[in-house]
Amino acid sequence: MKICNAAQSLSGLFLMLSPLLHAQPTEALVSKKHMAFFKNYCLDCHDSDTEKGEVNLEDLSFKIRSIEQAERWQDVLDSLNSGEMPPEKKKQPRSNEKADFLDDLSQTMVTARKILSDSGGKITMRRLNQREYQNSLEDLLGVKMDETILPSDGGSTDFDTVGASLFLSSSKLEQYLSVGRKALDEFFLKRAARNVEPKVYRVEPELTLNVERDKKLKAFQNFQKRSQSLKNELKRVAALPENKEIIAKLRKKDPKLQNLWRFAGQLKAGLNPKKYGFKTIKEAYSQAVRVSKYQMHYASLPHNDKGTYLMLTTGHFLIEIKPKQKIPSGTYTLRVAAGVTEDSPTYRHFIEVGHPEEGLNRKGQLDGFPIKALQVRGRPGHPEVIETQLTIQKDTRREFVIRERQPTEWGALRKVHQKEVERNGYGHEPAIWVDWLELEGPLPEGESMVILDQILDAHSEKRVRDPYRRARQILSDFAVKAFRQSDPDPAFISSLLTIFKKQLKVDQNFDIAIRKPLSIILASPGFIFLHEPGQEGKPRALSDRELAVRLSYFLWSSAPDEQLLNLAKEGTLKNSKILREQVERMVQDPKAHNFASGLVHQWLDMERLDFFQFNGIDFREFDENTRAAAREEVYQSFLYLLRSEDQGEIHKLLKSDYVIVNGLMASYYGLKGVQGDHYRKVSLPPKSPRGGLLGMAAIHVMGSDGRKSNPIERGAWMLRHILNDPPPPAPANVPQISRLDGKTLSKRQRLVAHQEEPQCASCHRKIDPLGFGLENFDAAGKWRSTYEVDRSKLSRAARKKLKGVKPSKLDPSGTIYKGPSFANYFELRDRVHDRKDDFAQGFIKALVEYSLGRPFAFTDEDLASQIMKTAKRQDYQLVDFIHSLVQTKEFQSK
Amino acid sequence: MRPDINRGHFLRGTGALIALPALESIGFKSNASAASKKPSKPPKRMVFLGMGYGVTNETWFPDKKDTGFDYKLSEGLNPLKRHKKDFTIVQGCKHKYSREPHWGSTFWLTGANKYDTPGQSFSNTISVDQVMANAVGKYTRFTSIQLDNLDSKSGGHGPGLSLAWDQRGKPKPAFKSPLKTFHKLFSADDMPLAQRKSMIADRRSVLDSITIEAKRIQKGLTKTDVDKLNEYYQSIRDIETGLSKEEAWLGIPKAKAPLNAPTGKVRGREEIELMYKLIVAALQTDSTRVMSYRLPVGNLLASIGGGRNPHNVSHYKPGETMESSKKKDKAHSELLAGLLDQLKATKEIDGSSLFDHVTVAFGSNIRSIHHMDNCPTFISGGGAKIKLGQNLVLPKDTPLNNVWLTMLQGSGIDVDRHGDSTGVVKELLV
Repeated sequence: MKICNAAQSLSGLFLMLSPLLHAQPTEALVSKKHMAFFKNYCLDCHDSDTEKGEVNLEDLSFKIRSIEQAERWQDVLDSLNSGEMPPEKKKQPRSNEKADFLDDLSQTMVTARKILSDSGGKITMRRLNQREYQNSLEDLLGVKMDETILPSDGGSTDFDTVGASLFLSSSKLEQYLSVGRKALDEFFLKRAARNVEPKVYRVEPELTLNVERDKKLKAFQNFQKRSQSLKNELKRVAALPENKEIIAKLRKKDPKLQNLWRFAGQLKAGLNPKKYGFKTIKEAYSQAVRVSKYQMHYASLPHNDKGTYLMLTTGHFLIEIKPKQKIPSGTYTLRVAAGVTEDSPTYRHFIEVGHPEEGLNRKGQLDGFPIKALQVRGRPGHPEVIETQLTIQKDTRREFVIRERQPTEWGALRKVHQKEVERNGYGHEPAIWVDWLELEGPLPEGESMVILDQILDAHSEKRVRDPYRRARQILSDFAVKAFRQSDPDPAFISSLLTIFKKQLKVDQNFDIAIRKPLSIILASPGFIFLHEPGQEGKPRALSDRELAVRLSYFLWSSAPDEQLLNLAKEGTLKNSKILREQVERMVQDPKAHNFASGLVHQWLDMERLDFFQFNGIDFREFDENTRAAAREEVYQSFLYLLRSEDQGEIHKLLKSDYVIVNGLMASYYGLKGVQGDHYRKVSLPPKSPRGGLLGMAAIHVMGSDGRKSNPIERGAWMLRHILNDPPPPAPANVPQISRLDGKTLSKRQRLVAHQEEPQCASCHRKIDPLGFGLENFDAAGKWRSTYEVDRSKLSRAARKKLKGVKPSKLDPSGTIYKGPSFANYFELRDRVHDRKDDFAQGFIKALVEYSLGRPFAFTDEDLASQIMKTAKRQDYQLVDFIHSLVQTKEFQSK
Repeated sequence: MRPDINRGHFLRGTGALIALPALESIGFKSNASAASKKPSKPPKRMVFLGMGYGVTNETWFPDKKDTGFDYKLSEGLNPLKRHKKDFTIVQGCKHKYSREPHWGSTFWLTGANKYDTPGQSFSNTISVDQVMANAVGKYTRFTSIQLDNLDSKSGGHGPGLSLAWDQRGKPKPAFKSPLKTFHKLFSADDMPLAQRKSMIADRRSVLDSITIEAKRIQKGLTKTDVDKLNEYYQSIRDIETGLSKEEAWLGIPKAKAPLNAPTGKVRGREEIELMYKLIVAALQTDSTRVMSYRLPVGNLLASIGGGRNPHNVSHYKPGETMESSKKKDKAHSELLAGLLDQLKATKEIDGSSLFDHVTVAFGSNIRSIHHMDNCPTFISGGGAKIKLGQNLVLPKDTPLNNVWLTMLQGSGIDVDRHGDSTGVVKELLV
């Protein structure tokens, strides 16, 4: 019911949108209230009479309308910020007065820059960005190309959908040509493997690892036994009366006869080492065969006859699966039957899958980051089977390993191991027991949805005998699909055919010769540009086909599917109700994940999440698996709201009584009973700090430097992305506070100092209180109630550094600048939740930039308030922001 | 193929000029040391080394009052002591439009105003190295070579793909790994000549094909979009120019590598050392005359025990971070001294050294912390006839582009301005 109403009112709005509704154009005005400041501190020297330093500010307009005026005001701002003006000898403004002026002026400058760079609602034709190109290729060829070889977006701070900032260069064009070819090679490999019978490759560790281990253990025990007998015999011989004299001599140098064996040759009735299986006596005293207590303990555990316990640092910590012959490209299932010990901590219930490191000096590391992390269920002796899918492409290494999850850097766990040995006598407690693992594949693809497969099947050799005719049909069909249902120039197809003919002579093989002309299609402008004809300054309505393309690149970051194109062909896509249905369908589709990750990553500026590596001792649980899962949690929380029928209020991202997590994140947050690697809604216990972005590990990691929390980073992030009040860009040339040089200050003292100097205070009075409100989260987003750390867990170097340092008190209380106070994190979160409208505004700006491909500008204010109005009427349901935007004239126009 | 839309027509139609290397010109054959005939006179070269975040203010700069040739070297520059007569520190310069205190490289060689184009939030102009490349690039196999590091995102370099920006203010791509650079420079193409010729012809027909499609797309586009599509045409033209160049160089084997191919993964300090060797090798073999390098920051710090957070170190405070910042300065000076050693030790055809014909500029658009005035500027080499050996303090806020202009003119490039330059720096002229 609600949905129908909304659709009607929306289409009504669409028609009613008239110039009368437009808000007053925004102006970049330096507030008149600063006239006095200006007069008092600037114009004395810089009026038209004096023009000190050839600077005359008297004729400087308080309204900024041109780049030239903006530059002059920028100079005023810069010289105040640098402390250069007013000069020391002259009258100085009061601290507050200066901070306020700086605050206003820097905001005005932001406004001015925005006005001056406003594209006026223009949507520039855009090249497919990296994600879109990758997805579009996947739709056509069923192959996902590694992003590291794709043409990069780089070179701009705008969203990756902003056409004006996506450049093309000769090197990129060459990259398009070569990547297209690589993708086609992959495609044909996969196609060739379509009829391969899947095979199962199985590893039973008790038949490999355990046997190896037991052999070593047996050798060790045997050695011990023989060595002991030899030692006993030596003692006996030494005690013989005929050796009394020589022993007495030896005792003079070595009273306890510790080195007796060295002189065994001098003894009478000497002993024969060969009798004990040794070549020399020395050998019996050597440590040639060594087995650690760690290994012995693991060998003594139950269920070793059926499986093996994964070790963490030395011994059997990897189980390898490496089919003997080269297995074909395709999708494979990896299954692991395993269990976890009852009393091990939950963070140790995960295995990671990866490729083993290469090289001679292997330390058991993975080659790069883990591909997947899997949660182990079941118990030793009673395993449960977990499974995941792996993609194997041409260059994928055909050997995989599993191991218990570990910190990325090598060696951290060795130090932990040492501590464990001191405690329990052998080292890491056993956690994961593995019964077997198997790799099965390539899996049958079923009815192929891959476009090129369909085209090749439709024009098979059987149906079309003449290779040139066949090539022409394939190339034409493929071009139409690649160009998203628009027809290529016939001359283009002819030129491709010429290339094919030449190639066929060289290659003598249709399937190889056709790849070159196909790859040219993948580098031609019809594919790599989202192009819409238009007239400058005269927006026109998009055609149905164009709308389908815009919509699908918006919500799927990929090309429209059959259904969208069919609706476009019928000319019904623009129908408000049908459009609505399509949006509903599209957000439920798995491809909507592209939207969530693409938009949210940029909206929340999540690049910083990958900046720092956390050390494995202080942050044992924050490894690459957690980093990936923490990132996914943010996307999944967004998707949950987007797909929710009526529980999708956007401000649940500010506060909620649930989280959307998988087993790994649940373990990280200390939530019990969450099993498996898919994300689902989990209710939180009362008083939990989780629930909403401010409780998510990813957000806090972004606001850290990999070691410590960074309240400034966090506070500024909140202003930008939560409260829609972005601080102006960090000014150049602000002097640091020299009074504090060389002093050890607590974090908070240092930040209080920020507010002394007006240049700093103008921004930091807003930033710092917010950042400090989040201090209960450490660098990796774990909750803490004090700065005191468990020093026993720290590395020796870290402990040494902390010696004699008393932790300062953790005080999250504060006052939002010109706003309410809060006593702790929970109150801060409530105050932030009160400002859900600001949060929604910020989201709309991101949404507009992302969907229309232009930085949000003042031209878009009307559009934004329309979306806000509709969304508010729908109780801020996330999907209604999308509906509302998609139904607007702006979205549907070129 | 329809004869009316071949690429040649199209290129002529849009007025594109392909600068084919003039094989018969004196410039080409006599200067290409890669060719069998050795050049009679060594050519001029330019190298730019950008460090992203700036230096330690307190210890890198020589005393501003202690100017001239008899100045006392600062702590940060001390490792360069043995070359003191052979470099000049220029103080007092800045780019007046540069206001992004975390962008040490984006505008360093351009001095452009980010906001210069109405209706856009970013714009840039040609960088000084590319001005040089446009003039001398035609004489060498590589018009210019840009080098970059693998973690350029967190090092305070700012947007861009390298230090270089082309004629239209668009970022120029770079080689990121020493190994790739080595192969590009020296690895021989073992394909037979006829086959390579035929491959070039094939690539031309690919360009012909996509040009047809570009013309279809162009119909009815707005002016802005045509500008975008022009990037595509321009890319085709650039590939075409490259092909022509490749064709012209087909008969000439790549230079013999004066060093072995790099092995293993190196990061940070060793990575820079290796890249410096490759820079010398590229110049020595006259494979190119213009090079630039965005130096690693995070990896450098990590490799010298300076922590993992370049941003924190750049905002140093007395104590640990300041020590790291000083360590970084020291490492850079040591590496630079090594580079100068090599340049001096490399002999040219006329008995002079490579050092005499190259100009090396090292620095950043950021002084230190958030300061963008008095950009650290280190100049060395005899290529631009710069007066070396001095601590030169120019009037406050002299355009840094004046220094770049001086370098260009000194290297024999016929330009009278670069960006917002107001004239050459007379004090730098011999």
